[in-house]
Amino acid sequence: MVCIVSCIEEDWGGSEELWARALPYLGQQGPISIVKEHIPLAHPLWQAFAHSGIDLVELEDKYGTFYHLFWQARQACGFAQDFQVHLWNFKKLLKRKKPNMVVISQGINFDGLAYAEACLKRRIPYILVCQKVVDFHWPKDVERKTMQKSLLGARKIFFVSEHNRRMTEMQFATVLPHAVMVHNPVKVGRRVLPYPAIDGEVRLLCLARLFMLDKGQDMLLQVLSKEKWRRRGLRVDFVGQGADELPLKQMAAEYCPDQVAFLGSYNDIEALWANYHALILPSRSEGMPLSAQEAMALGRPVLCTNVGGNAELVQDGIQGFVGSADITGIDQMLERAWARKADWEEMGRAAHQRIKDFVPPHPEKIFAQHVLQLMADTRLTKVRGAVRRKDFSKSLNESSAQEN
Amino acid sequence: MVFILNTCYSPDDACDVYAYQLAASLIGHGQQVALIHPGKVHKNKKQVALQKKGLLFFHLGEQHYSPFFLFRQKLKGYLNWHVLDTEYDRHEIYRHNQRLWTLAHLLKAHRPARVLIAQGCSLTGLDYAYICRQLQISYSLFCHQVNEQKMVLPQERFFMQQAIDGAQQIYFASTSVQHAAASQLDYSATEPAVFFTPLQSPSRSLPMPETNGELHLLCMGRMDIFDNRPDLLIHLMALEKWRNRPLYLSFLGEGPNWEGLKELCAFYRLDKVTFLPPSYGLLKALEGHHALVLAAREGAYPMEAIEAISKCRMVIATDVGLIREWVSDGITGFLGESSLESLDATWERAWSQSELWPTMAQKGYEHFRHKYKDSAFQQAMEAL
Repeated sequence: MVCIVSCIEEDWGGSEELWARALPYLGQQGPISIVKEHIPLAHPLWQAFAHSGIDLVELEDKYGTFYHLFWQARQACGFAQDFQVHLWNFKKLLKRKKPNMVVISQGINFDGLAYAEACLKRRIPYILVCQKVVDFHWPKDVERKTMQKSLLGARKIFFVSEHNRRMTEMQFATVLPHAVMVHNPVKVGRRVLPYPAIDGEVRLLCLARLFMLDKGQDMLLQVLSKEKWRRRGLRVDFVGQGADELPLKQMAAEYCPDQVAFLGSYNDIEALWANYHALILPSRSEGMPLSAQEAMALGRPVLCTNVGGNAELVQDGIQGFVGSADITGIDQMLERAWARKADWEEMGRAAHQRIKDFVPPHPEKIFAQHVLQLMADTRLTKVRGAVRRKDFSKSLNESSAQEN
Repeated sequence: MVFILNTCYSPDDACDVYAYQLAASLIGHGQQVALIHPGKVHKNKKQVALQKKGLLFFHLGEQHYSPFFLFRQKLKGYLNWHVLDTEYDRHEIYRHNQRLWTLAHLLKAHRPARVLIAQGCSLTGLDYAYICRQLQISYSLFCHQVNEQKMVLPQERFFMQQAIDGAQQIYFASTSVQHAAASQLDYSATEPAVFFTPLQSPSRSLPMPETNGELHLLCMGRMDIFDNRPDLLIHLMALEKWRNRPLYLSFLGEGPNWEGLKELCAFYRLDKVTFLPPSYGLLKALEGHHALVLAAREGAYPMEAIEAISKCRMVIATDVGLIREWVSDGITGFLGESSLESLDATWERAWSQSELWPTMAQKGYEHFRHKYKDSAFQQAMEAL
């Protein structure tokens, strides 16, 4: 049995695609449980999981207000200060279901390590998937040792970029010999869409969650507020939702009201790309951005910062442009891109080829194969251990019989 | 009794330091003072020293209340009862904010003569100020910074403007902060009311240490990677060119990532980076180093930079907060952005002009002497 833990707070995100698409392959080994603090059954994908017979386990407090108040009162009295009900429920789940493998799908690189610790203590094998590393978000000193043990105790740690692996090793000051690279699936079809003519207006699309701390839209707006960008026919449209929607809109209204628009969410990404010339991602931190993979698959160049795996995916000057993750760096990167906008269509085709070379057609299958292999290895280890113990006890019995 | 409310969670930042200095000064004037922190903090030496002189200390978490009080508050909240029967409570933002009704409870219990609200950012303390206004307790605001990225939501604007209007005095870390706050909160700024956080040690023109072919840089402050990015300096020192140059870096401070930074240095096998114990002393550290380096991603009042400039030390920093009011790029120091590439370029510029550091430090010191008003803090105390 495989237990998949989804660590993100949102209902759904790009980080969930990998394990979600791997489900049909993982289902070959037996039952699957998906565990989350709160299961958003209103979301269509979660509804589909429920209808397909997958066991969905919610870790939130199920006992209602009274139970919640009871634990609040206990903490107020000074007991159980570190108690977290979702972890407690997870430990009960491990004890009850005894999964053969736990797949902990993290949003960053250490947000799921509490679950990993629970698995480690119960000697339940687990693997970690790290979708992103935030360079300036480190574990606190008091948590480091425990987290290091949880990291090293995993059967495998899957990273989406070399940068993420390196940064995790630096954050924890430990080499991770069991780190493996994995790709996220590209959700759109891999075909070059017709390129819109650049006839007066250059249109960039910023397809990212509206969250400044990670996605850096505030830096882009500050760059666009410069006089030289106001005079040029450059337009940037933001697609996405997030906590910083209102402040970003207010900032745009103040800095560059005529160049920027917020379009909300879009489901049909391919139809969206018909009207844009390039993707722009001014991120402060990334794993391997899905929006960049999708844009490149559809033949659009990418203008991005050199965070996460961006520079591994986009080769500067070939499939797009890469700058440093600060206002000056983004400005300089935009200047270089502007100077070569006649080459963008060609770069888009190069980007399409890059995705064909870089991302396998079914990365979820490769991921599932890794998981199944690890499960098989774990079973073999247990069997060998049992055989050794059986042989030992057999030889012990024989020697006792001889003595007698 | 006077309440001093520090609205910043990070210990040892400018807001926190200022709150303790206010407390020490008021206790020195014979006032009974209570210091309030938004979250639970571990006891530090400053707090212990002031508690011996009679400082009361509270935090706005729930730990110091009985379970019966908590149960009653939760029940009220769940049943959507008004907690304080005031206008603010009907607003969604305030109804379930435990810190606000904890503050209200403390204010009702102690009825202080004045509440001094030390804000890191112009918006962080206004909710608390509104509570004081509703309970008709006079209050003053001390604002270190305006965070332009944090916009005032329309549903909050009314309450925040009421809080501003009801303040007895409002002080700002600089005139630019005052104007920015006035613009952000849409209120009319009157005459300048600028305060300066007192220095930890008096200003003096320290002689530059001999170089002997080496340059020694100091990074001091709270070792918190999220805001201050000391890790960037270690990544920088690990680059081949900086490893091969006679450049040494020391860290002085404390913080939640102190051990992590040490382990990162060990991981990189850096032998030119030193971690000084907090007891080493600010003055002794500045005496032995040629310049201060900072890599903060966010900032407000640049306390560490001002300390260094006041001791005639040049600053290489990131352009955040109010640093530009104290450091002129290329004249009294060097400024870059908080990324590895930008800091590398900034350090390169500084390195290439290392022979000018003493001159730049002296210019910075003269600018400090012209700008910094020792008396501002005393005037603020007298006004209170």
